[in-house]
Amino acid sequence: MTMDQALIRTEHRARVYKLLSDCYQSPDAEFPARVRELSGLLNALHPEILLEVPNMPDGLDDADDKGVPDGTDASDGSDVPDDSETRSFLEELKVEHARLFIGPFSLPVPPYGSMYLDREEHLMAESTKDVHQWYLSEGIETALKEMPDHICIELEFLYLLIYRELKAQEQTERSHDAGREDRAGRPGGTGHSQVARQKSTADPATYRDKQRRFLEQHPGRWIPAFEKKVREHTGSAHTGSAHTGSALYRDLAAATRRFIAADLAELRRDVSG
Amino acid sequence: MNDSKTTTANGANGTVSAKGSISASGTMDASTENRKQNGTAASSRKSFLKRALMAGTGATIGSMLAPGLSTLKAAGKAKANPAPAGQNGRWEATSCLGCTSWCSVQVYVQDGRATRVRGNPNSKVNGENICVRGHMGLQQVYDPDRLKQPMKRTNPEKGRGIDPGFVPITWDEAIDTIAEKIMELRRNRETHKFMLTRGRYTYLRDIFYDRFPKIIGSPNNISHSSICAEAEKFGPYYTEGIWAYRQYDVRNARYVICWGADPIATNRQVSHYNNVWGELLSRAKVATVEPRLSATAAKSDEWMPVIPGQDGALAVAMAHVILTKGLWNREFVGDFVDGQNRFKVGETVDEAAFRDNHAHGLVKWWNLELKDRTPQWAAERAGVPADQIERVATDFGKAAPHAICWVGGGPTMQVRGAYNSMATHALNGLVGSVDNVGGTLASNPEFSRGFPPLDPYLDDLAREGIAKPKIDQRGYLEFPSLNGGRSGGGVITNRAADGMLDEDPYDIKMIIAYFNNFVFSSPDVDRWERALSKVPFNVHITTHAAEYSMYCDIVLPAAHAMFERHGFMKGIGNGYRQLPLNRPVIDRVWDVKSDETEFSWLIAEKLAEKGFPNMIEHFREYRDPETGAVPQNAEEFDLFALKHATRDLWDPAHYKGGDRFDGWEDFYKTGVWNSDPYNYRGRWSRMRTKTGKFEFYSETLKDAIEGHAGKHSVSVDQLMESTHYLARGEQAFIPHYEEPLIHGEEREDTFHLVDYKSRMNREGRSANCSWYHELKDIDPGNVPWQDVANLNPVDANRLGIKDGDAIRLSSAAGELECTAKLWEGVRPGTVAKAYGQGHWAYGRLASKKFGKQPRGGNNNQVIPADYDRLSGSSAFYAIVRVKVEKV
Repeated sequence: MTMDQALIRTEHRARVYKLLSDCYQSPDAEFPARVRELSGLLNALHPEILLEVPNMPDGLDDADDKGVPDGTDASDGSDVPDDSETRSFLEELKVEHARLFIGPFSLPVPPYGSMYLDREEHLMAESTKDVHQWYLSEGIETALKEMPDHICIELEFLYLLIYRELKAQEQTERSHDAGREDRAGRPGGTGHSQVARQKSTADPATYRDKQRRFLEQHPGRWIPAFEKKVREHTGSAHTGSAHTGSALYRDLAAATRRFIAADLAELRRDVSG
Repeated sequence: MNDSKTTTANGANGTVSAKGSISASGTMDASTENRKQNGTAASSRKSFLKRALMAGTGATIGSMLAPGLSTLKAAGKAKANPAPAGQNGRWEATSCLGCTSWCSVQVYVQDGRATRVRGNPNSKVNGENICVRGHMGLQQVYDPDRLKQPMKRTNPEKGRGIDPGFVPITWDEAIDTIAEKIMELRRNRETHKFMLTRGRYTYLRDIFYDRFPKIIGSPNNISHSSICAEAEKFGPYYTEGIWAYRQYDVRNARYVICWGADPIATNRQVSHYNNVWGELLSRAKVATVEPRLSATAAKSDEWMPVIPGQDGALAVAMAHVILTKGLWNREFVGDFVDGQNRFKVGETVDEAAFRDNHAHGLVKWWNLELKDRTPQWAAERAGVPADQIERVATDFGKAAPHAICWVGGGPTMQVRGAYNSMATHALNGLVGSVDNVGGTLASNPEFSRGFPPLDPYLDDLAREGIAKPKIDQRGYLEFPSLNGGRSGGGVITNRAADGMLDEDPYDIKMIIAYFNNFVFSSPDVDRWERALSKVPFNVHITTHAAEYSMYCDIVLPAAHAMFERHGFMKGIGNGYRQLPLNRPVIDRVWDVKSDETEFSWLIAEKLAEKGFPNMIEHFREYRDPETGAVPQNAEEFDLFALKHATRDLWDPAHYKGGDRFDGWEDFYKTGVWNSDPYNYRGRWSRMRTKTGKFEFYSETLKDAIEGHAGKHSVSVDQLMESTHYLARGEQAFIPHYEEPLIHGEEREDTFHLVDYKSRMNREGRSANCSWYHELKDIDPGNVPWQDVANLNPVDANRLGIKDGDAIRLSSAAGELECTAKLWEGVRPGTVAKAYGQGHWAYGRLASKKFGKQPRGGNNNQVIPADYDRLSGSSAFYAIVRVKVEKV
């Protein structure tokens, strides 16, 4: 792989994490576009994932046709009974997202790491605190009124770490350039800029290592159990196989789990290789 | 996370073609292309990095933030350099609202996260110890099933088992929708059709419960009080003029009789009584009157497993024994002029022969009621041996005046319970323990104060609305509800459902409910389900969505009272009154707000935007007492309101008594104000009764009853009949025995239901905590992870029921399913079951299958809606016989 190829791959990884993070927020009109972009990027990075989650993004095709739902989605006396005929696809998706990940009643699939990592299924457990420390060590904190180990935040944190890797890479290149320029006696005392001096603290490899460790300690450990719960609560027993929202979130979770596993494997190869 | 947030994704504003491929517009070139080109889109990389770096312009490397971040941000300065983990914890003071003890507590907070709870050592009431409920608060506040953000209903159909289809909305959308509905009522001149209901509260309550509906123009602020304990207050009010809970001076007592009260488990100031109960047992005798072996009964010298409803028989028989044996307290009650005891079985006494002291009407009481109430007479009714009645009464009398009758809900929250409340409490009068050392005490004075005057902010429309009758039918002939001596003086919470269903006096169009769940907590819940299904617009402000929320259009996440908000409480015990603060001691985890202050402010702002500024103008009067500043936003209003209400506790210039503080910061940090010690006997002959004395013959009640009868132009006897009491003539004004009114037939397979409150209930809100279920066997006779009904083995064997069998309890009101547990601790002929479980719409642990299958059964499904009508209380005890059968 050329350096450019590697960089593009890294950019794609960043984008995938950002898209995944956004996709687990309450859906808005951008949701279908995100899922399509996500599918494309996953195909580029790990084509095998889409082979195993074949309906993504085709599930959205139904959605496009469904300005008005046909009313057959959830009339089987399931957990989401009595859907209004007038519910739009987006609203249906929002209801399904809220049912799975927000509540307000029994939350079938808590999107919180500690619910899977802590022995007693508590929130604000030791693992939560550890995630919080991860953020602080990067000089950031949560902007959402949410637990630090919420799936959206952890995934966006990975996006941030990859972004910082890319930025470090860019700086490395710049300082190389600056160095060459300096040696060539070109103008620019600014060549000894901040950017150059900070090169030592911004080593791309450090950020790759952080990505690997964070994945290993947090989402990599709990996303499989999370995905299992999503499957359990989006099966036909719950919502009917025809429920587009359920199918979308089932596929999204499956893709998330597989991507994280593949990505972690790739980061580990870095270490061993 | 809310749906209004614009997602600013990482500059990759890819547009989506119909076929789902992506055409890139700038950065992060889309994958389809890249796949084809085998990932060699170098230009794409440059442009991405360029954009990314441009977006990061100005940021230093250390805090470089990726573009488009929506869940993360740069850390604040303090947070960027935290103390090492584990070295930055602090104990922070707040209040536990897990029951009506209202303990002053401290929470250990690390990195904004609560990890432990203990009593506040600064409290003179509960001290450093608190009960299990305080600790359970940790599981409540960090419950993944909490309501996390405002949500609205998408399914217009309302009813049990119908999923509302809630989706998240912003606070602004929620507030705007609610304010618009209020404006609609005002435009249509039907503001009285607005209703505010509450369950628990802090003492910032008047902002929301009083000011809010009044400024809008509604008379309907409906409290939970009458499904709580009003009948318990009836006896003390009509004997000694206090409509309030009492404190019991057990540190100095020599005898304590607990009447359907379980003070070391459930009620009231449990922490304090746990602190001293062991010492009490070593010094004094304790008797407990209760059909089941409660936690307190198990720690008593005498257990009197009374037949449900017959408490009054025991009480009047004990009074009979105390008088015939000459054991009354002469200093308080008075004596025969010649010192000769004329109280002899069956003989009337000349009133002139007795000189009252600090009590009034003893001889009338004797002549009208007590002279024939022998222990034998009571034993036949109450199912308690005559010799035990005599022994307990005698020992109790001998301990006078350091002898306490602790009146709980058991004998009082019954149909006709008002007179049990008087009869049991009157024993305190007989032994002179009222307001005395080792006796039953009122609350010490405290110096919190009210809020700025309301009057200037009421417009004509509001005044018109407030003058309308209330929805709960208080003051109707059948519902005297004589709180404070006035016809219709008190709330009849559970009757509001009937008012709404029958549209009598009118229909309700809008409700805001907070800190309550009447669909679960009121007897005959079905009426609430039907009533609420009819209400066009309903809002629930709550920490946890519950059965009530199923009927709501908007649900709003409330800050947890123990960890996340301001407020203050008023507790009594140990001879002191304390006012502990509620404080936001942790970082709010979700997008929650304080119901009483922040919500009210936001609505007021929105109403002003819509052309009705009265509420916000009133709220702007709540200035910071230190600076005189006018509140500018919800947070300031919240804080200033608290400082205003508590000023005389913390401002040295306004000092009135009790603990002294240097100022606000000192008080805020300490978290609790303690009163001066109790002034014993200060109320003797200065009671707020008609005579100023303790009334065995209640002139105060006589006025109240005659007032209500007069209002409806009926005689006292007709009133007694309309309200289902048996008293006739002057009996209506004295403590006396009433045969209990119990629903349901007496048959081989029917049993008295003995409802009681679990020690694990945080006021019935803790069923979604795993500790609730794991530790459930701290309720005697209970089993972890089950909701059991206790049957005596004698009865169970007869019905062929074994431990662990699924059983059904049913009555005319409804049915529930639970698990059988055989136990000698219940009286044969009764089935005892704790209230607290049986949620069908709640969190993962409280409900088995959301919306469908409860875990255990809710007692209120089999308890019919009936009342002690003089007090307005719902009846929970000795009210129904239920059929018990195997499922």
